[in-house]
Amino acid sequence: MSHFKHSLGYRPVSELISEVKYDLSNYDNFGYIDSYQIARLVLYKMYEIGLRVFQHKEMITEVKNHYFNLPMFFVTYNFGFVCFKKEECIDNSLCIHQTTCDIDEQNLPANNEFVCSEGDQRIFFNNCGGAFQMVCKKNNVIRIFKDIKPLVLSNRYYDSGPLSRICRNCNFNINPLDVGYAFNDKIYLEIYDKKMGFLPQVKEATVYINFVSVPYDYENKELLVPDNPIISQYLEYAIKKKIMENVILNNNDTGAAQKLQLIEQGYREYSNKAHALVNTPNFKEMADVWKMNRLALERKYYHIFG
Amino acid sequence: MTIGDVVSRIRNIIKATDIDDFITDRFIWSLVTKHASSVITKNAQVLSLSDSQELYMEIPHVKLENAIKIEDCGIFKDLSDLCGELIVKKSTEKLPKVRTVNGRLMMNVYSLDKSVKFQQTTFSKFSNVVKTRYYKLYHDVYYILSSDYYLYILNEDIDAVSVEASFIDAFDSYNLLQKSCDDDQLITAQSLPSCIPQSQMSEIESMVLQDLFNRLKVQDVNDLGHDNKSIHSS
Repeated sequence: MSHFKHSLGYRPVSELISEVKYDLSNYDNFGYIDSYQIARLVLYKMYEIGLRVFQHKEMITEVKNHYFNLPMFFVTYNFGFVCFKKEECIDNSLCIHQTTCDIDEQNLPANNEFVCSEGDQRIFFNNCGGAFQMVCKKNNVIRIFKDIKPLVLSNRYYDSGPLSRICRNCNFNINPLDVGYAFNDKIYLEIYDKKMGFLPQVKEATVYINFVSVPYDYENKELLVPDNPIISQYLEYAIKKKIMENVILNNNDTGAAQKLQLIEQGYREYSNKAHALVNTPNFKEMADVWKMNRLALERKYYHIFG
Repeated sequence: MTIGDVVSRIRNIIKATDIDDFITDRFIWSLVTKHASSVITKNAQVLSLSDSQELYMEIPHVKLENAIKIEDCGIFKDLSDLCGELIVKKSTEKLPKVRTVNGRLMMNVYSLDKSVKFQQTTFSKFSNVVKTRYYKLYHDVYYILSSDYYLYILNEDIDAVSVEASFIDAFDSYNLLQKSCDDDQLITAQSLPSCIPQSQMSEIESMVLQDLFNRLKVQDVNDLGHDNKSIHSS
């Protein structure tokens, strides 16, 4: 059995645009293919096939006056922590001395699953005698947060999946800080307690959030698209379809309707394929569901006799 | 195919000598440009315009200058808040008239090393583009050929660009080409590309010849002098 590459890679949207422009060179020469328009369409189509093609990112930010700014291209919140008791040290040996326990780099998040939003910054959780610390390593500077409280956004579906992936052996026995929140047009998030109102300890604090983001390369300032042959072809057909529709709607080419029909066939085929590819659970997910169902059955029927 | 080739082709058919004082090269070329655009536009759907390199002519170096701020704000009436941020460069010289097909310019603008191709747009389209939130998703460099044939480059601070276009009258680019070339490089008007594809030449030739014969006929009739019995003469 051959070995397939399962993890989803990304490539810049400019590559996809160049491929489409090459295919429709006649329209490209007359300026029918607007790159901005393609980038917008790619974003819509990626939403259409599902958030699973989006990236998971993490960020450490400062809370000022109970609120913090959400990152650019924020889509949904996975999980987060309010971090207290910050310690900063320059190199590893000093840190060990200060924290009195080794920094366990085994729990480092896998690069292909979690992309750090600040390039070379790495964030991981350190088990220090049963108490979990959050360690943020950037170049030689290490910031350790000795007290972390999970930030649970009330009234929202809390998915612990991403958290268990980032830290498989962590058993967080910490009471979460159940906070209310206010998304202001996805620009900032305001933290307050539903009963007590604004919490004094969170007025000025550090927050770690893990979120779903639009795939975006912050260094080159460019939108990214999934690097998968089926998804790429789906996006290509979608772009070509949009270009031809615009040509027809603006009366630029009388023969475009026939060309659109040709593209429509390929688009439909690859649309089905891409949706199926993205929404089919992989073996690990299916195994997890099977395990969960089995445990549930055991608890319901066998456990009662135990 | 150069301007010289096109002119000599027609001159050969009518067997007119170079010293003919009525049928000058300039006159023949003016008839060719008159008919060429209509023929090319008519056959645009059949022609693979992008692949036909004969249609295009290159000006390797078009110098740009900073557009005056007040002026560029005047152009972008809807974008008064963007005026400060936006980089607007303008060509120092006017460009020759460019052929259009379905309202689109047959023109490509590149960076000098040809690695980046800029995006064709119009002032109204660009003002709509910058208003959307998706404008920041993809950084593109736009160019606009204004109605007075100045070239505007938006979003890129560069000193010069390379232009490839299908000019209605390739001869108009003569001055611009001379400025962009080295001093020791001699350009003659006859050596300039005609921007006419070989496949369309026969149709253009027949139209030019018909036009030419009609004119010559009128000329002959006028030369008859007083013996001509015109309906207008009393």
